[in-house]
Amino acid sequence: MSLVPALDSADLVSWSIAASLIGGLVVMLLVRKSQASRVLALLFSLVPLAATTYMLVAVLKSPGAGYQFQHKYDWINLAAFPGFPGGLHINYIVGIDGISAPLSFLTAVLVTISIIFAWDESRNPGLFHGLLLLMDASVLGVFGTLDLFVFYVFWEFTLVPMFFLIAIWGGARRKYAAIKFFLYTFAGSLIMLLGFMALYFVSGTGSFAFSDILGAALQNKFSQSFQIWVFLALFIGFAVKFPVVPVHTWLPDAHVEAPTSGSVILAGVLLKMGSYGLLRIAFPMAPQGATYLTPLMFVIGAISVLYAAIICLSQSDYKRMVAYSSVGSMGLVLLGLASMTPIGVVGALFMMVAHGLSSPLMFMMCGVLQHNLGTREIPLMGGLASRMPVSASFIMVGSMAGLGLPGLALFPAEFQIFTGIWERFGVLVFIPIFYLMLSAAYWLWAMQRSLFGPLTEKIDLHHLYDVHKFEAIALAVTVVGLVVFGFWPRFITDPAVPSVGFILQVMGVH
Amino acid sequence: MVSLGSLASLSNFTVPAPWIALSPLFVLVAGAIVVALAGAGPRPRKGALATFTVLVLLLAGILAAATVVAVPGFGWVLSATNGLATGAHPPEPYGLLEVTSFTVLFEIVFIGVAVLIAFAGPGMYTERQQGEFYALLLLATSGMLVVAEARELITLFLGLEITSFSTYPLAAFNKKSEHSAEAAMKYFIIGSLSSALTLFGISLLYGQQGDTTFQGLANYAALLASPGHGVTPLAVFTWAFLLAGFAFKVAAVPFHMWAPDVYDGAPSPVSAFLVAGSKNTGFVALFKIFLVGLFAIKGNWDYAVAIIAIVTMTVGNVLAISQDNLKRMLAYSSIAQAGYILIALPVATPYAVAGGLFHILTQALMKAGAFIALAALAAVGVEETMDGIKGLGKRAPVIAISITILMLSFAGVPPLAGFASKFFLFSSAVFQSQNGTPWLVWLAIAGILNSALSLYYYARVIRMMYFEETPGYVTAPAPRLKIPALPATAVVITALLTIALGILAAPAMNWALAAAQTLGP
Repeated sequence: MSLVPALDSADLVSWSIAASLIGGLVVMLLVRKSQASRVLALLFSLVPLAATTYMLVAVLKSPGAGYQFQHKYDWINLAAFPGFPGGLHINYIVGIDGISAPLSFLTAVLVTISIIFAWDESRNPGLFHGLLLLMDASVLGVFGTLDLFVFYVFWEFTLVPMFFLIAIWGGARRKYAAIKFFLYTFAGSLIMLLGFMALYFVSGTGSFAFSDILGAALQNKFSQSFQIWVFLALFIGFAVKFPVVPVHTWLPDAHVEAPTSGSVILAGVLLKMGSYGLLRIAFPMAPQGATYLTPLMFVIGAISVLYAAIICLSQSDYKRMVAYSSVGSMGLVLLGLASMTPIGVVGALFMMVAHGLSSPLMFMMCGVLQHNLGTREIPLMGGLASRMPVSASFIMVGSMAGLGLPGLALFPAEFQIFTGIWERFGVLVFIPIFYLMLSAAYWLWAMQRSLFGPLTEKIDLHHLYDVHKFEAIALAVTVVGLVVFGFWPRFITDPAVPSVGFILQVMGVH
Repeated sequence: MVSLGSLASLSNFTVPAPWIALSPLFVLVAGAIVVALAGAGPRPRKGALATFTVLVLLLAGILAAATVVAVPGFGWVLSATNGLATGAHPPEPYGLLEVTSFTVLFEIVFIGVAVLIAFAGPGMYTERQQGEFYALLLLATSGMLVVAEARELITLFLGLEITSFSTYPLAAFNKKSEHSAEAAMKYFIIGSLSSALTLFGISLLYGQQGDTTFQGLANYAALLASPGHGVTPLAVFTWAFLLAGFAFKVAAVPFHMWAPDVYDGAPSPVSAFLVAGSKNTGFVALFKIFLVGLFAIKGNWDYAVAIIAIVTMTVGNVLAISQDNLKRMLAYSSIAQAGYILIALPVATPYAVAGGLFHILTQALMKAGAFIALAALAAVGVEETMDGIKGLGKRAPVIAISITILMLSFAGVPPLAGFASKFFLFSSAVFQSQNGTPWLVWLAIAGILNSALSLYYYARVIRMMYFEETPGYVTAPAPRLKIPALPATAVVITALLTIALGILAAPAMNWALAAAQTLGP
């Protein structure tokens, strides 16, 4: 079913990437004035937003396991010769299905709202907005491509703009955090690249395309031990990005030091790249490795959710608490994926989108608090609801979403994930389920200490502005998203079910 | 775009005279003589000699490139007995020089590096002794061409010596600096030692087989590898001496100690020439000797080279981390890169060799750019240290962005050239490990882990330029630097080529594949 026939045959994925890439470079290199740079950046960011919205609607209207908007171009072709059978063929292939459509849409939304939220950025605004657009281009590339090599290129390129965003506009320890972020994720990705190379050469197809490697996997060209090693290599790369315990330590530093817009992108979409890669690449291409290592994934996931929740309870810095809560949410995503049941995996995907709305909301509120109060220390706050009613409302929505209140998007996600865990692991579900109690505790406790009770006298409250208009627009978008997806989860689940079903079928688990 | 390598199939192509194939060499030597004479005469006009040198180099480069189109993939032979040979194919057994696509690839690398340095020259040096400088530059380049064209060991050795004896005085060019003199002295002593080892290896070889051509060497190795024979201890001695001699040249561990001192002490443009140009003559020699000559007894030397490769990349990267002096950091980084390139030898498939060649190409480009950038900064009084470049992002934005691109490319961040060449190189080891030699995968793993390690010090440079303030200008903004235009242009060109070679890697890689196939295995 087509909406506008001309658009259906257009390469919307590449158009989105190209628009944000060109926009990023133009804003970065050519624009000096802050007004011009933010307006121009906003206009450029609307192109991928429109394109991804169109694709999401198209996928919703005609759900199916296959890719839509698929396009293919030659990139690197090395001829075959004796000793080098098959040659080397790297194609730039893009396409969208029920798994990547919501994530691409989320990316475009978050970049747009982070440009709006940083409307008053005065320090080198051209570079700032340009880097945000470059982020947009590279993350859309990660979700849109169907070729391992191109995937890797986009995957690594996300690091560069984020590195600069943290290091130039970050907090006090920004230099340390930026370098740590860059090194950690670069190291993990390189191990992943080794796995890609192994998949490519053993498949013997001479192509990095997902479909070709998947074909080789279906023809049983990969032995079980090979699949275990490859899965491990890929898992290391993806786990760093997730992040899950014990490779999560870059995240609190990066988040706490990053500027608010950086945190929004980081938590909203960058973390989702790991879980997306696991589902899209590691699961179907090394299925026996995935099933063999399921216990490992369960243990890591369970430790992540509980560890993160306990750490959150003891945090006094609001932003640090939100950052650690991401580790918990992403641990849940890992558990949902590890369940390898349709409901668990779809729940994990749902969680990726829901968390991609709730954590940006909370990060933006941490930014607002920091601006208003000059601090993010929870013990110094108190009674803010009376002086900052709008901010308090947003914080309440974010916290309620975080603890899984029905009606907001995280509830259906958590429900599906725990159902999936129950189906697969049985009574073991009682281990991670403690997370629900702990998460409710830290969200409520932090909210109660900061917003309610007697008005604090420990900080100067004379410069409160509550929330700027442009900030409110950005915040409201995430709230609308949380509510819409909370009440109508089928926007995400309906298109995702066939695609997830296909992956699970390829893996031979369902 | 027509890839040059795809023309390799035109093996029956005839060319009127082999002069064209050897003309770059003649052009360079003639140019060197003219420049030397002009420099000795009355003081030439400012920049005239540099312009002339660039033109000579460009002419040589165009002639070299023309050769590859005209005579793709097979050799023209300069015979020792009857002067310039006819274009007989296969080549005559006793020829001295040949021009293949392998040769031309290196000719272009060498000439390209020299062009960059000569082009960036005005604005970086004082006007004194221009004649000597450019004459030596041209002579050294001609020696490199001889190395690339050599078909036998004595010619190869002569080429190496022409290069060395031209670069020794270049290293000491900053006469008033003790540092520079010390560097030149070290370079001379180590260079002589390396030559002695090489020559001893060659003489041992001649004693065993009575022939100095690579083809003769290959026949001898095939004999050793044939049933009923075995690799004699003397043969092991021989390749060990040759390996040691050239390991000095490419600064592979444990023969690397001289490199940081020399690259640090020599004037930056000369360091650029040494790292990006003359060092690669060692790789040419290693490729020719080990992949053409000694390929048949690969099982005998591959572990040794593999261990040297892994140790070299690791030591280079670990020592680079703690460097505050940027020239020393780049020196250690180039040691590490030599380790990556050595991966091509034990893997020894055309794909691996092509990856190695491509990596040599990208490294030459990037190292030349980085050293020229440092030279350009030094010319406006910026110290070549981590402290010196603090706040450079605001003081010299164009140079800073170029250096950033180069550093990210060194570390192997896609889609830059350094990533592409590393990808081909490492993946060749993974490929061969799946084809019956499983241990080769450790070369790829070592390379990957080292790349992760190396990012630390490359990112540190970026950090200093963008995230730190210029010392002494914490409150007020530091003044913009007026970087001389020519070196700045050269640096920007290398940065742009780094991006282009990363995205359009296929033509270069196809050419490298054609070149690798001419080597044999």
